[in-house]
Amino acid sequence: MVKNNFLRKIQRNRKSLDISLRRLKIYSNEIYITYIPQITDKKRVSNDIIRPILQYGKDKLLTIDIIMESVIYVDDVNKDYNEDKIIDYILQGKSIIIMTYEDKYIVCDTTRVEKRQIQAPILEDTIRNPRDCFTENMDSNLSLIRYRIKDENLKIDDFTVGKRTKTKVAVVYIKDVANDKYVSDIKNRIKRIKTDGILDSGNIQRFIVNNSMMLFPEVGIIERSDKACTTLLDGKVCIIVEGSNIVLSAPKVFSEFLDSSDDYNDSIYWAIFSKFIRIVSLLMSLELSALYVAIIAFHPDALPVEFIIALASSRETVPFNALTEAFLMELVAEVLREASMRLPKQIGTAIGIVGTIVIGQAAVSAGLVSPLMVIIVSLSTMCSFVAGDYTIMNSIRILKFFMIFITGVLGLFGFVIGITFIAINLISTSSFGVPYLAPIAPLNFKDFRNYFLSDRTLAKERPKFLKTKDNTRQ
Amino acid sequence: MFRVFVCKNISKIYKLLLIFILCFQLCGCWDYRDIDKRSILISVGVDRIENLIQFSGEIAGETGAEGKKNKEVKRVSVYPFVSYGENFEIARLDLINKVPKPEFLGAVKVVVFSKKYAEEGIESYLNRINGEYDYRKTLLAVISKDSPKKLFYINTNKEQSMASLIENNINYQTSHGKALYTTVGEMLSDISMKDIGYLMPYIGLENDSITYLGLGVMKDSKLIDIIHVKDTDGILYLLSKNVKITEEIPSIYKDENLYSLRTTVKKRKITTNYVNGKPVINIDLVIYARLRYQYYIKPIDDKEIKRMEDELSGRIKKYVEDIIYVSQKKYKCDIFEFAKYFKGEYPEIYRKIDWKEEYTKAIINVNVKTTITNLNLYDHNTKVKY
Repeated sequence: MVKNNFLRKIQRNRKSLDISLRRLKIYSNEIYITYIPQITDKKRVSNDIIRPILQYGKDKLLTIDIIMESVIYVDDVNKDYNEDKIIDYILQGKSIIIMTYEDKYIVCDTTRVEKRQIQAPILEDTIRNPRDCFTENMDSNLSLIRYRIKDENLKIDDFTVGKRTKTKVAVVYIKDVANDKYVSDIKNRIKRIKTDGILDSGNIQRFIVNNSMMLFPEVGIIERSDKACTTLLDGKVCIIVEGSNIVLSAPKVFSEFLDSSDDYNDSIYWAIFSKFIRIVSLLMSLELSALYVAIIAFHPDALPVEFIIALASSRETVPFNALTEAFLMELVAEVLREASMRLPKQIGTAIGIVGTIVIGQAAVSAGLVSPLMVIIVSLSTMCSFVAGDYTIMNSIRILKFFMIFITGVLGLFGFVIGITFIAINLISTSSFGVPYLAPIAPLNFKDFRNYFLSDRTLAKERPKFLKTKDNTRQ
Repeated sequence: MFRVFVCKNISKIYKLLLIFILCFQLCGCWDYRDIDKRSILISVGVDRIENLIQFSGEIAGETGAEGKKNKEVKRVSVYPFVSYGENFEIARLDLINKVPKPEFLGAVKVVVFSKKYAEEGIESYLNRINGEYDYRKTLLAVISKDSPKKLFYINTNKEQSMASLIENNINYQTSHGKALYTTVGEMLSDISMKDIGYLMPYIGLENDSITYLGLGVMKDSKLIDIIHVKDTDGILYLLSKNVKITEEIPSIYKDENLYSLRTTVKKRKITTNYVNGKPVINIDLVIYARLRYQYYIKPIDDKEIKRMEDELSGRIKKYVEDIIYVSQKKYKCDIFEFAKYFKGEYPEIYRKIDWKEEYTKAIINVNVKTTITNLNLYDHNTKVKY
């Protein structure tokens, strides 16, 4: 006597979902094993489920409980009664064992996920750091973290986000270090997400930030597992999204975007020097073109006399005014960068050559732009690659155009207005309640010193602005 | 999303717009003009021809196409200009009519006054420079023996401007302690003191080359005398920031042997006093001298060193006393800015007295101490000390 509707439910969706249904007849028992072949490990289904059932004595009593406890070899199994969830299980790549006269079924985890090997970093390449990076597989990502932090307090809270994609999201933190307020805030924001699909960690990022219209990123991205562990040890929270090789970290302050893992491995002097270089580069990327416009158009007398004359002579054939020239050249540089990112690697180098020759050499020879403008654009573009976390530079790239425009209209006065607006924006931003310009505003000298020196032997405490439960490192 | 953002922040957006509009309306730099769209003046000459003011100078010209064709390194050519007028304004108007683009004065390196114009007085033109916002106040001002127009019309054949030649010349002489680099700003400061005069470099054409000839003495901003370059040592010991003067002292043992010494001022201390109704100016100079070489290499003993130091001290003292005496008796003008020291120390007395008058009666005490710091020993292992 059929006691359930499980089979009927499956039969209804069988064609559309391409579900496989394997029927076994043992003595008088009818056993059905059902799964989607594309996302299920068929070898495991055959060896760990079908074979043991068939080999089980034909004269012995066979129930769902006996099958689960004494017959099949699958390690991750559970029972369920809810017929509405059966399709969800199958869609997750699980195999379902149904007996017609039983009101429950067995869910076996035989999921097969096509995953790539752990590879070297692309976004966060360093010299002296481990090279194992996160992949799209969540289990691999969690294993990389667990492999480094063998602490019982390392907590992983799972969520499922996306009405249709049902993407797994893990919030990882060290329970006795991370501030509960930030952890619960992040968890609540994830819980509140109502969308049909999350396909990448970037999608989550948009939902959990304070204001998605903010120019500066409030969440950091991490590609390398060791960096994620460092972040967790600092008392931050990592968000791992299934299907994304980029892990999010929060809270994140402005200064950390210019940090690099290499700083902690080399000497203090080198760390200070590299940080200084990165800060100067960021400023140059933002301001160089704008200053060029201000000097050429409004305040040439700010330069030594020899420079004024050299500048004037280098621009004598340029048909555009300084504002248009700077705007166009920066735009061309952005186009080149965008093109080189989208093109396959083999063609990407060609873009570099075209960019250098056409935009640089030819434009100057044709008298369309001044040589100094080419130098400035090249320098400003190069400077925009130095940040440890590239996402901050996207904001700087946009602000660069704002600075060029406002300086082109108002001169150095406009330049100062622009910088003031940016400073106000930075100061009034916060990342999950942490002031964005910490440890500079509000100033905490110890954190500021630790940031610049990048020496773990000196940093005996965790950053104050993270308000961690356990502040002591050493 | 954008609509929600706008609705939530409407008051903020209005405030921002208001700030921007105010910026644009009230304080926008509406003088936008690229540097290549301006006539860059790099030198200005002022002269008087009969009753007219003559402005001359050089404008940085545009490089021709030839240079580009030959892929040569770009060099900036210059071309001269001349304009005339009854006063500065009319002369300027004449200049505006002649230059192809709006003029830019921020790159002017040097102002050349003709000797004739300097004798009439340069204060009015210095005030003009002070009033024009785009003139640099650090630009060099010189007096020329020859007409500025003549200087600027010389073809240097080196694609180098006369302004650069003059500036480089004075700069080089000053850095080697042979001249004084006087800027318009310093002159304006001296003029504002009213009681003091100042010195200006005096240049001219000698054998078709720009030559530093000495210092012009300015009293009430009028040229009253020229001090020849070979008579300026005393002035340099008193005023130069980087004095390096070479002195030759004969040996006591052998007349034809000469010691060549280079002197520098290690410490210069000027203090003032007011005793018996007379200002007293005490000048203490600590001079370091370096023995560069002897004409004939001979051992030097302590006695010889002492004698050289005393002779140098005496010689320098004389230079300084002589030039101060000339300034007191002949020029009747404080060209060494002693008034600044006196005013600093005795402001009340300074206010009561007429410094111009009192300076001529001032008692000057010059004290020079010379030390020979380097004997230029070649053999460091010698058993004899010197």
